[in-house]
Amino acid sequence: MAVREASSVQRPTASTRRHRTRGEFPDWLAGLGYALPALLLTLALLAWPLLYSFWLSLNEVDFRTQELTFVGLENYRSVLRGTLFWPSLIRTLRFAAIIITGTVVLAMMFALAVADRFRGQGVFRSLIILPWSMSQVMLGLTFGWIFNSTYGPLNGLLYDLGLIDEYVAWFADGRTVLNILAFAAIWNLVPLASLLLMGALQTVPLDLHRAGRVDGAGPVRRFWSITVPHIKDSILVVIVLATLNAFLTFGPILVLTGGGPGTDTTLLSWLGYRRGFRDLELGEAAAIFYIMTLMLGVIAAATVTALGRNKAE
Amino acid sequence: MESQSSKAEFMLSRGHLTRRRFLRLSLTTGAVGFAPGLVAGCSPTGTTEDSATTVSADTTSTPAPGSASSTEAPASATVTLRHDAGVGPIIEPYVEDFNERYDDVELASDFVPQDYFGVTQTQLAAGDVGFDVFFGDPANTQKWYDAGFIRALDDLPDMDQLLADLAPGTEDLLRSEDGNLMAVPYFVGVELFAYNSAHLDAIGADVPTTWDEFLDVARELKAEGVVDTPYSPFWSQDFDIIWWDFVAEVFSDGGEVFGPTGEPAFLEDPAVRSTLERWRVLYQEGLVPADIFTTSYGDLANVFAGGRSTFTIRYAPELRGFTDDTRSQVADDVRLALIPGSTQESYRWLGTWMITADSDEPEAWEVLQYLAYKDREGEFYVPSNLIAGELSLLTAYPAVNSSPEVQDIVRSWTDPAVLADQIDKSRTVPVEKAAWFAEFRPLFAGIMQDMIRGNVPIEDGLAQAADFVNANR
Repeated sequence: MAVREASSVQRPTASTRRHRTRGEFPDWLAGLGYALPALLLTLALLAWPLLYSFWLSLNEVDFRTQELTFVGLENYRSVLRGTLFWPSLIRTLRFAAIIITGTVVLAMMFALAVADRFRGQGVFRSLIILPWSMSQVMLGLTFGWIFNSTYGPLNGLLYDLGLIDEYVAWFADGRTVLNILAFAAIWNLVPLASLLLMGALQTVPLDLHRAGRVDGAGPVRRFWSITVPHIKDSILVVIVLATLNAFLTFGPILVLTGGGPGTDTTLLSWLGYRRGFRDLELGEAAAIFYIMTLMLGVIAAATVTALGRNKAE
Repeated sequence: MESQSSKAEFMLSRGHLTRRRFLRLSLTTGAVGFAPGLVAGCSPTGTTEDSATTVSADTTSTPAPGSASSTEAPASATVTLRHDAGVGPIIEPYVEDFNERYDDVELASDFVPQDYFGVTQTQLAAGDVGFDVFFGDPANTQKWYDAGFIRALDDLPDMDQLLADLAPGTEDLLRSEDGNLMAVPYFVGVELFAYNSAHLDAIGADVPTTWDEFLDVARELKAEGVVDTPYSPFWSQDFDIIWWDFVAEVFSDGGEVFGPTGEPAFLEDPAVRSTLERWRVLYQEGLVPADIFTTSYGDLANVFAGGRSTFTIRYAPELRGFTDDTRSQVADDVRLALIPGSTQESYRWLGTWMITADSDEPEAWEVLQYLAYKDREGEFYVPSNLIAGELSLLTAYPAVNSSPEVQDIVRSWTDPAVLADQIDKSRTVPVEKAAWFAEFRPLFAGIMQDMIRGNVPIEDGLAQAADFVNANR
């Protein structure tokens, strides 16, 4: 019945649109009208800060006179010549790569694990969303406690299991610290990513899987040939979210490392904060964040292009 | 399937605004817009005040000046005191005392739980800060004065009396480059050397008086299994606190960090080199905790208080806490000694009180006098009771420091002769009040950690720091 009703609705075609009655809005105008409130809100909340921070990045701020002095691209030059920028950029990219990989893989595993019906599925789904609700500061404090070298439960567990002879100072080595921060970010994001992928998995037609099975395709082959192509859009969205999370990771650095040891956890977000809010170099801070913005823009644009291409195919 | 995709293709090619296109557009815009939003809020005219994390401990529930509801406040004017939350519980009784004794001024308090200087500076930069009287150190004072965040204090009534009562040499540290008074003293801190006598007794060692002896004793303590990490210095980046240990140890060997006009003397100073080389050895040999660079200030203090190290260096409030058996497991074994080194000098520094540029007068000055100087009865109430009494710090007033009451307090927790000797053998770093120093110190803190860990050669690290100083001074 539902199918018949749906099919009985006359879908607009190019020819019907051409014969639109007088006074009727064209589709594009109606669509724009529906979207306008959200668009205006988006513009107000995003475009203004975007433009203003760009303007800031081209100026030097004098707090005493409350004046901005236009310095062109000097702030960008200064940032790019700084000793901390390039190591921070490389560190940020490495950090992002870990988070993207970890998030996609773990979220996919969770999504596949709860895609099929099982007893307690609802409770399980509710529970896995909990980490996502945690603020960045709480996240930092929690992981700082877990990995603490003196009283951290992880050390206690490993010691009790006989896996270590003495407590490990997890925060001694910069690379390990960065990995812990990445792990915290993954742990925080995986629930949301899992939900996105779970929703996408439910759209994969079971008929295709049955057909694949008849054709002799195993679970792995079916996953790569049927499931992944169907949920590619959602995977790309997860990648964008993970990239954003990685670039904007700040709270755990603030509460756990202060960018150290040395400068080993100084990511671009922390460097920008330090220049802006500690050194009061707002122009340089804006330049750093704008460089991050450009990078994120490129990644987001590439993702959107890929989404479009995927749809067109 | 085929028809759906061709329909989608058709709609895209016709430029229709579909839900999917709108969402894509939003996704791109959102991604692009996120990062700059972080700084856009912090402009000279912006208001990022709401984003700062503060804990209000306003016991009177009276709004801060400038807030919307403050216009409805009756009779008494409200002044808000800003401090970091660590000292909040100690200061709060004095806030209550002020409110009991001063009818015409209401004092509220506002404590910052984390990143005090970062949060405070952000609010100062944003304007309309909501606090009037706050503490700082000389590293920030000139910068905040130059930026117009704080007011000059010379014109305040009876300021000449306060200045006349100060210890010699103090006033210079409070004056700006153009000669204006930017702040008044809160306390005088001196870095002190403490040791665990039970640990030394266990190996029959004397207190080291040179850094070579110190290294030998530390190695022996570890080798004998008395303690795994004999030294727990404050090498973290919280408050750039590693700087305090660095200057203290450099001074103890007769070294110098800056020349008279701010030139980077640390570049060539042998005591600077030997300090950093010793620190590298201490780190490489595991004589300090491996995660010392990222351990929080409180956890670092607990290493010594928990008996997991034998030596530490910090100022009096911390060391007094180590002798308090409600806060320390080694209270009975903690002793004070002169810092090891060829001259055994230490680092002396100043905490300050300031008034924000937009504060109401004369109420803020009334509060500042109460906190930093004398109350209405003419007594050094807060300097005597809070600074010298509860915190065991020096005040900037010799009359207070030498009073019998204060000497009794000192005797209650340590040997006053040793303390007095170390105070005598201490000196300041006058260049700390230069506007560029606030940016230098965190930069150098990171470089120092890299040098200690061996990631950056000492020559290169010092050269990098010197380049910054030369480019900015």
